[in-house]
Amino acid sequence: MRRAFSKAVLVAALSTTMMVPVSGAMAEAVKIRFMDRTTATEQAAYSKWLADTFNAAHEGEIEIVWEGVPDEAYKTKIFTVLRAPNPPDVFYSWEGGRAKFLIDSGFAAELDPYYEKYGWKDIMNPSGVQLATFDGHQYFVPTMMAAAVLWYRPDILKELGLEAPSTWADAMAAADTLKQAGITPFILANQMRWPAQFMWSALFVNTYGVEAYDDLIARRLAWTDPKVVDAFQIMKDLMDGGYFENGANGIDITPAVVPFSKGEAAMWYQGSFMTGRFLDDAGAPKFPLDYTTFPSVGDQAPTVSVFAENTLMMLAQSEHKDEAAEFLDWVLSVESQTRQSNEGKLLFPANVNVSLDNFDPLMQRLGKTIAAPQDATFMHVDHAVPDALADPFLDGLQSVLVGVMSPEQAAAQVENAAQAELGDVN
Amino acid sequence: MTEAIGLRSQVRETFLSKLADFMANRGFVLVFGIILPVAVYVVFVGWPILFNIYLSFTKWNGLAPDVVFVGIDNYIRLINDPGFRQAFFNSLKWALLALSIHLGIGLTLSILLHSGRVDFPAFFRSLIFLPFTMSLVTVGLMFSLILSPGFGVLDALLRGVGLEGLIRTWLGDYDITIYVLIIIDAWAYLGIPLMMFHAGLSAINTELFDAARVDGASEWQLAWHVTLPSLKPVILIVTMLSVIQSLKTFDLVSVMTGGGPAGGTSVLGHYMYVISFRRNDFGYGATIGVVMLLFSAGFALTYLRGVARNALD
Repeated sequence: MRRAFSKAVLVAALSTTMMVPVSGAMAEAVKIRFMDRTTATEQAAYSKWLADTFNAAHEGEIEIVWEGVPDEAYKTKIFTVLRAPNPPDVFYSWEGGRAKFLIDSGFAAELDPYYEKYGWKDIMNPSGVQLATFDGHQYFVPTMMAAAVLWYRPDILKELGLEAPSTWADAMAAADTLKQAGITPFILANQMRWPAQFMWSALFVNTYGVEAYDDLIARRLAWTDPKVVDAFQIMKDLMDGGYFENGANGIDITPAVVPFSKGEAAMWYQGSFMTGRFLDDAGAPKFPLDYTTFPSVGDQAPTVSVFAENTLMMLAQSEHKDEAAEFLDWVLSVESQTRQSNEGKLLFPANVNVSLDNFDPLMQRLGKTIAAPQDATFMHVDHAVPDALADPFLDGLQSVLVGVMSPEQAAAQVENAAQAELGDVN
Repeated sequence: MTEAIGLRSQVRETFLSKLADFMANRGFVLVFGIILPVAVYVVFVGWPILFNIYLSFTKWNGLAPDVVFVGIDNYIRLINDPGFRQAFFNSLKWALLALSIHLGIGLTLSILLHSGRVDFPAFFRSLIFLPFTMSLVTVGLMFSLILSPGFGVLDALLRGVGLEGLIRTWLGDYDITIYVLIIIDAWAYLGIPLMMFHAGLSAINTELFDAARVDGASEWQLAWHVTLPSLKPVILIVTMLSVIQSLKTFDLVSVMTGGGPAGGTSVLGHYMYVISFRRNDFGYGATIGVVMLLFSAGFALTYLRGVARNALD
């Protein structure tokens, strides 16, 4: 019995290993692997819908093989699969420094011919095109745009006889009035380190200009430059002056919505992705809410930080680039982008032709702000620079806010990382 | 030509037949009892460790094909890296404090629940063990809400009993946050030492206690001279498990503070993750991994050989 069993096992094992693949005579659909980062149930459903609907329309020609990976696991997984034998043809990417990292590592295909072929520049958010361009070439398609804005509670400001600040001086005057009334002027919610960089970046750009910021990002300006130190110092002064909520470094953005919604805080400079936490299921604000762009500092005209929250790249080594591009065109279509905004709850669309008419008036206005062309835009630091710099920067900024590092020390820490990663200032 | 094919076929059949015979007689145990487990160990434990050691002598961003050999540069960098020093000392602090809690509170509670002076001891043991069954990520998220400044339950409780002065930014204060995390971690793991001590206490021969009582020993003397010496092997095992558990810490830090504020809760496991996956410096991250491995293995071996052997004997 035992002998018979062993023989059976052996024969089965050998048969399996010696099996020769049989190639079908029928032409098979071209398979395109699509790996997307999914941050919420609605987004995963939308992402899968993209693949299913495309497959139904291209039956027998192109088949999208979809894989959704949750947010945190995505970054580690994409690094592994890109090096694996069967990497995805289309994959979620990031803008700025992380995109450049993938480009420099040789995994991102240049998309110029497809931008030309499908006319993507004509339908795409102008800031999105700008962000997708590296050394004159496009390397990704933005699929979801966002902006950093100053959210505020109009009811509280009105009650205290204040208006939405249009200059930094107005903002600080309003903040002093709010403090006297026992209301926190600004929410920071910096437990996870990244939120504070939004205000830091905006202060830097609106104080010293977007050109100076571009120089900093492009390594033409040292991180120890007095302008950088000054931006750290302003943040420290705001923290020490009690302009942020108590325990600002011990609370994350989601729980911080509670004091904001209860009217215990009046302003919050943060990304438009906060709408998911501010709006109800019908898309209307859950509490009195409005926004304005970051106040102008001095005589600088304000620059709005419009950034690409979600983007898709095509694999440089893909053998089916044309088919992958066809899928990307579908992702950017009005139909897909409309669904992304509505069912996917992903605001805002990268395609400027998508109608926002069925949105709440506040969201319509924000959508127009994001879609409006402007001379330049900027990304917050951890999007703009490579990870090797972003992490020491975030660490340094939080250290300054906590009081264990001076602005100069934080600046020196980032400069050291920049030297190690990018070399000396150009 | 035909002869050659025939010979090959004959050789193949003989080989298969002999292989089948071998499998039938001794192969089953050999393959499934030794070769497969060893292969699994080599592939999933041995090879990653060796590859990690190799990576620690390189500079690699985790994605590009270029893996540059840098010799011992990464190890020299460790010595001068304040972030590593901070993580290292935080890990040590974590291990020592968590161990104190596991031994002190775990043993005290076990003795108390075993003494017969507490009703429903099994219920309380289960209650204390319950957090261990929860994922540390869940525990972390739960405590993040409990400790939220302003509206967290703990602050509300303190306010409710007039102890407002004790309220702190539990997860954002550089000086105290690591202690908060250590306490939560120790609470979540306490069920293991408790159960191990319970098993140890149950195994002590009751005649020892009876004899000591006849000799006039007090409760304190019973605990000191009978219970503790009898539990020595358990204490040693709990110590080893507790220290290794602490050195592996990652989940709570990642979920609750991300290593902050300002690196105040950075521990070796999390720092290694940050260096590898946030800064894309896989060579240096691997170096931290090697140090962790040496530290854990060194501790376990030295401890088992030098201290535990006598007790276990």
